Amino acid sequence: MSADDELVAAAAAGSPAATGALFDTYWLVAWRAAHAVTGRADLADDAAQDAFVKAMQSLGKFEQGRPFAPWIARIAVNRARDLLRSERRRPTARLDEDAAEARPPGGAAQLLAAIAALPNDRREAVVLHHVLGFTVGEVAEIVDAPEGTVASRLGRGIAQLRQTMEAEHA
Amino acid sequence: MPDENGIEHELREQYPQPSAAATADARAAVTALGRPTRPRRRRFVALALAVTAVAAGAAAEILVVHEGTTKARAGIPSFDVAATYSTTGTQAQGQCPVLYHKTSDGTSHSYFPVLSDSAGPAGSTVRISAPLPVLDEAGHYVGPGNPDITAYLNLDFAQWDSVIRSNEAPVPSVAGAPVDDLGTHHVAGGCNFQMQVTIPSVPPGTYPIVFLYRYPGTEPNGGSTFDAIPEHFQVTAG
Repeated sequence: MSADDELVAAAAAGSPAATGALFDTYWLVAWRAAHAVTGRADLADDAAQDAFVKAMQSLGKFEQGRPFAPWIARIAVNRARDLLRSERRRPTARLDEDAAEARPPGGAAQLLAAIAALPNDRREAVVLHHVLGFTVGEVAEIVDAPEGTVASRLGRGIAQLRQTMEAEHA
Repeated sequence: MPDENGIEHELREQYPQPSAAATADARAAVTALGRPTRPRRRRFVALALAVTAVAAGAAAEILVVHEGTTKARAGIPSFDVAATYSTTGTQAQGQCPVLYHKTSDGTSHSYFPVLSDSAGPAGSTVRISAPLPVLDEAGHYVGPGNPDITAYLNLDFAQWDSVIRSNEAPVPSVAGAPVDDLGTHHVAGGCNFQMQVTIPSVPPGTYPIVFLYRYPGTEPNGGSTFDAIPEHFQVTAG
């Protein structure tokens, strides 16, 4: 039984400590996955929290032996998409604005602005793979797309980032 | 993950994090939850079937033709280790058919190529054939284009992009064995392609053959590449 399995089993049995440990371990994963979709911290806050609440209430659906991170990330991505759809009346997500409070100045700001400019599907793939460390196969499961499509989005996303960064440094 | 000193590294270091307030709110909400239900065990049947197929040396996927999607992405340099190959193509008459292959588990699909043989010793000649992708990422028909298709033996498909990094070696799927460039075929018209490669001298084992398609910058998928789901070839002793 993996560490994830033990925590999930304990949390499912009602252990507050196990629930807290799951949260502490995977909150950042859920939040960043949600942020990758929405590009906005406020929506990521809501989506990630909703995702964790839903996950804790659905531990019966968690399959033993599987890693917890892709599971919570998928829930967060789906919830973030729902929230984003409900926010369509608002302007397009602008990561560069809302991330300003959290990001350092300089090159990092340029990089995050470049990330914000990526199409949503590419940003999701880039963040899930390169920031959160999921494999291409895991990303494919999380975003519900074929592996090749995810790999394509990754390649195009990174190429677009490099192009943007090089243009800014030119 | 590749390119530890590049954009990917910066992303991991600089990507936004949740605020302390949001974290505290969420933690309170989550830990206040009631007692959930018990987890269930995962399904082992599909995994067992997959293991059986690999153990039997079968081709990696069962091929079923369906309608589907395609993909594309950024440029690829080549590296050394050449191999002989020959090519043929079917001239396009109007639009090419929209085809792709669905894997046996029904979850992954691609225009992945078919190998004439799934096993043989080093030095074996293998013929590869496949329809060409004709849809863009959005599912719009863009035609087959005229890509350069490169076959790599033992490239880790999950880290395919290691072959486009100038500052690192391609990541092998089977540790200890090299990643070999089996050759590149330039498509000049047609809805499908065939190429022939020679399996290099590598230790016996089962290796993926990963295919990357590079499109000229003047085409609808210009400057991008497409990766096909890898096939596997079992290199036998002597």
